[in-house]
Amino acid sequence: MGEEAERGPLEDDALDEEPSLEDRLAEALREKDQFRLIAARAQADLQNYRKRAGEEREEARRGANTAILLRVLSVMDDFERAMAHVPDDAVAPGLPEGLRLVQKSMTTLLESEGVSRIEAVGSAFDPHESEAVMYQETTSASDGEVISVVREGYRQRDRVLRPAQVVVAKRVEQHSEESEVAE
Amino acid sequence: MPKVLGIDLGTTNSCMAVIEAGDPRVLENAEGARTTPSVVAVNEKSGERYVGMTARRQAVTNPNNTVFSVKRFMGRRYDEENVQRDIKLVPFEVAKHSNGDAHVSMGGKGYAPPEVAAMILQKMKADAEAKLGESVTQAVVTVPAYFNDSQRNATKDAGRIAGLDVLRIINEPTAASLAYGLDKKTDEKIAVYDLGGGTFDITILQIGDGVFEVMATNGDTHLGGDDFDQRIMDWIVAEFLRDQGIDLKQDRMALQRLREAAERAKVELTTLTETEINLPFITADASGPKHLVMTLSRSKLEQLVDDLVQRSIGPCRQALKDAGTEAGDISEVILVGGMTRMPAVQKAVVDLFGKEPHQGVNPDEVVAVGAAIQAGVLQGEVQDLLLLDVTPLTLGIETLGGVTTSLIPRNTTIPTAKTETFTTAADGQTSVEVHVLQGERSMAGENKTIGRFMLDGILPAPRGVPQVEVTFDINADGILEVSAKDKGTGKEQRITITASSGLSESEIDQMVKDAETHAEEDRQKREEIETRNAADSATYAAEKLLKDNEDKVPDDLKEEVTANVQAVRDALNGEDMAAITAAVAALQASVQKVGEIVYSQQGGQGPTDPPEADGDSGGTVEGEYREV
Repeated sequence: MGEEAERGPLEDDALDEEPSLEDRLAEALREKDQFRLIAARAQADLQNYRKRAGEEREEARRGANTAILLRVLSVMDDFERAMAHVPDDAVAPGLPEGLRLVQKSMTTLLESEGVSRIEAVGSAFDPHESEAVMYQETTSASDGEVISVVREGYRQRDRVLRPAQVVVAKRVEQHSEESEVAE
Repeated sequence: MPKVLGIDLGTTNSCMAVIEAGDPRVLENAEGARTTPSVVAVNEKSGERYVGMTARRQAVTNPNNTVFSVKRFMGRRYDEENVQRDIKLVPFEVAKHSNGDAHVSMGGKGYAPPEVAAMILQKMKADAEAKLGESVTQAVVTVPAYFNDSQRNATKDAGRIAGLDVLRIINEPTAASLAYGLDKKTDEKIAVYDLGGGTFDITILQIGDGVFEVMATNGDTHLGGDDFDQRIMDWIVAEFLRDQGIDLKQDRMALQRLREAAERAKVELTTLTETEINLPFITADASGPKHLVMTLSRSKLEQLVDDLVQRSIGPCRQALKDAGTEAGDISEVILVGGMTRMPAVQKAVVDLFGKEPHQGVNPDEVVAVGAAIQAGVLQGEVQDLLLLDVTPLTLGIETLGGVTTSLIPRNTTIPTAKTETFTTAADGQTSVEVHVLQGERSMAGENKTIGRFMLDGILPAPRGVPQVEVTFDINADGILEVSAKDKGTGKEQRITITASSGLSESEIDQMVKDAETHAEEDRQKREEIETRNAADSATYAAEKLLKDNEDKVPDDLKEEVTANVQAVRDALNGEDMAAITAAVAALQASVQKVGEIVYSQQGGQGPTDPPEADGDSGGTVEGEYREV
């Protein structure tokens, strides 16, 4: 190591001494072909670019949209955590009902943007839509099944906006009841 | 000439780029991400293979069959000290193959590291093909400068297995230098500081005649962004334990959220000096739910990671020493890797080398961009042969009121051509002057005249009727041809302006700067002229309307219009813009009355449209073509 050198893109062509007419013609023909190729390529690049430009604009718009949606989703996560701690109706009359309505309006907003929840629990773990954060030994679910969701995942139309973070079942026989978690 | 892919095959993440129309462009993978995790996994039961993000997501369920950091084992012997140390850090099995190489195992089957790397390359190839809509068979792949021959060959093999002909293997620091165009430099020393997700490399390069020579390399194979994140997490856990007496380390769900919050805080603190870590309902005890709310300042963060930053400085000093040079002799400093976005890291580098590093190319992508530039060169010397130039200054012509009307804006790539139609400014005008201008100012007088000519023989007609087509055509050599053609008679005049200016770089800069400083003043002047032009057109239109409908308009209205026309003319003699605008408004009100009367008398036919008062609408623009 330390001694190797590489040629960069600057390489000088050796100069011919005295080119004959034939050589110059050959050179010109070679150049003509080369330039034609370059022109064709440039033309093709342009056409392809045009075709893709619209698509990319759409992607950029979606990208900006995604950034905002992801932040909304993280607020949604916190709200749902809060919901889990809401006292029952007897203790705080009307409160649970009211909060559920808030949650509903948030869900409606997300739905209007084409966002839907990934239903992972109970189905086989799919790394395209979910991220396994725990692998838990169990006797009550089949191996590789999603037991619970740690953080909800969402899809926007046909693409995954945010994968679900899930706990995956590791099927063990009856004798071991302890859960093992891998990192 | 199919495209050659430039690939940065990284320890943690990989990235790819191509040259498109002369410029490098990073290609997104199938999941829409600009980098792909260098992780491969095989599901033991189904035999299904995962590469990239999906492999990373399933790692927890399948640790023994998920291979990451395979680059650390590329072309290495099992017995090497480094290999022995790395084996202890990975959950997958590494075994000694019969030839003495280190092989990894997935799904109960042994794989040579190049086979695993090939799976990553294969995915990138497929994703690139989907993105580009054409097949890709050739690539330039980067490797660390310290890779020896067998590691380089292993990388080449990986390409071949993936169906890619690896045209060239280039060093990562060399690629980064290419991304900043440093191959054009002669006889300079370059320091490339690369702090990525899990490894740190410092390389001292010498560039001369387009050849990069590695003078020295050094680094730390286990120092990177993950260590920084861990520091933040440790701090949050310790603070929470102190405040609440709860150890979050015991709570795996909480740790998951902490890890993400730590990374987000790190990213936010590159631009902000303070960030809030806000994790409601992080955990709960007998007294109820607990929330985590903390403020992390940039200076606190810098304190937390100071020793990590310092750990990178020792290898830099050693590399300088090995290269037989000093920090002061380094002409260029390049930063590579996401961690170099951190201000504290940048400051440490500036302090060491006494020089501002190059910035501008995304540090996560700079190596792939450089690989693509090398690929572009191999792909057919596109840039060298067809270096497309741009027009340094705006080109246009003078129109009514001494205004510059631009035809070709500055920074337009040439060759290019543009045609616009103009018209006459006075009744019976038989010739126009085309005054060709160069510069950024709105007023003709403040731009540079680069040519002028007359087009005559225009048939006498009311103003606005003749159509003169003006075409600017710049060829690839920067030679400008301006032609003007009267559409009525087909008469044409042209002028060729060679090397459109002869302006030096500094003159061009000056002209652009002037334009910026005078922008407001010019805008006002231009507005003023536009107001005047519109007022002038309005009087002309009103008179024409009266004349065309002489017998239909009652005398008192005629007088009113005539008086208003005179008022506008009087206002035009003065400098008060508000007075002109007011006079024009009054005139237009009376013209409207004329229109109503004419319309009612025509009984249902459309009103005689007064000619457009605003010369700006439609394709025909009034030019400053005075009769000679």
